Amino acid sequence: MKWIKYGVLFSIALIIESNLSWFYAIGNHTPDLIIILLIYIAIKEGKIKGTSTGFTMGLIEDLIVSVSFLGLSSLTKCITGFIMGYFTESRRSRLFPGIMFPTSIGIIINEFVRTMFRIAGTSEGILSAMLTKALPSSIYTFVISLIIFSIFKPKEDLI
Amino acid sequence: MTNFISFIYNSRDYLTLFLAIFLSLFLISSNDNPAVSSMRGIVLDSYRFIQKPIFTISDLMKVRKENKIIRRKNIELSVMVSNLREARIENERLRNLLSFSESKKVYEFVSSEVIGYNMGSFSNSIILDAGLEKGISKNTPVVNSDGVVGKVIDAGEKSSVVQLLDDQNFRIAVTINPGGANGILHGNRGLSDLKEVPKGLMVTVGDTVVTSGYSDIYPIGLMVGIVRSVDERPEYFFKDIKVKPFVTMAKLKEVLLLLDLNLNKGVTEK
Repeated sequence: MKWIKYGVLFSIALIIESNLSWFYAIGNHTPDLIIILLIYIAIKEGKIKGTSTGFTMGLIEDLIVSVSFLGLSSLTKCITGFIMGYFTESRRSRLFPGIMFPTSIGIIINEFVRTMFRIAGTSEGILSAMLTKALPSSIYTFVISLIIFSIFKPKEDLI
Repeated sequence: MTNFISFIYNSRDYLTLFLAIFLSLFLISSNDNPAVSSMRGIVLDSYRFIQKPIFTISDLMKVRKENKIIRRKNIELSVMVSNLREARIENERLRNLLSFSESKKVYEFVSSEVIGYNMGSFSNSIILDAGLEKGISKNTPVVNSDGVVGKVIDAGEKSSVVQLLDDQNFRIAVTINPGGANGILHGNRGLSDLKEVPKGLMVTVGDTVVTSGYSDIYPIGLMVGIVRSVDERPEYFFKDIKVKPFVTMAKLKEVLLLLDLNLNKGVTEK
């Protein structure tokens, strides 16, 4: 049942991203709603399900909305799903009691890996792309994720 | 054997990650594979059934406001068409005087609704409600009344994905009018970069950028954008030119696709 719920949430996130992104874009930057959902799922379900869900969500996102690099979102999202599961499993959650740190790490890895692939073959410098594109988008996604997680808590003891 | 199974079981999280990374890298390296392209086409066609009604609803909310703008634009265009008609007659008369022969491509226009957007820092694309069944294929040019929108990068039976002019990986051969300098426009959000224009050539702010016709994709003379800034740095051979595209990508509702009839029918008109 909960996987049906995740599927519905994923469809909604995908539809919002592919129809209404102009509505909430700040400059050229839009939050990655799918990564927020993935983080939520990985926190609740752990490493393995986080990894496989990240791969599946990324692949569908790539097939529907990505212009190039089919497989790039699945790569970044499976890594993020794994890391989120890794950080939030019991032993590590004592070291990082809260979801702010792992969430920020997950979002940054997703955005930075994606940026590295995207600028390959272009004249844009890596530092400039990270600072002007990856970082602002990461911050926007992080802010939105904190708002969502403060309402829909993935795990009570992690907040 | 038992040790191996227990090793697999204990490392299943890392193995899952490794498998997912391997599959993703395999997909990235197989992007040009026709099987991948057809798989994307099937998924796009399925998604179109969900996407289209939702997009229509969000679109209806803006219709009244847009109607006013369109009516005004219609009047402006009518005046422009009349001027262009006169210019065409004059152009034909002058060509006849010079006995100028030309070979030109013949295009058929196919209109399509935009049923989805993907805006990001790097990749910008739209999903169209038209695909292979209307003759659309990879690299079909996409335009609207303002100018070049982009090109089709993948087509399903009833839908297709268009890479927009402001996508980071978009390139188009252009000419700057009235000077006539040629260059390559590199897509970017906001202002696009016009590269490969030597310093010696005359380019000023406000010049119009049109397609040069050097590529096999776009016909000559399609409006692309307007020059917003021109810089020259001593250490570079080329000018640093920024161009503002004529088309506002975030407001696209309907576009035209240019089907090359010569390409489709194998006929070359002289």
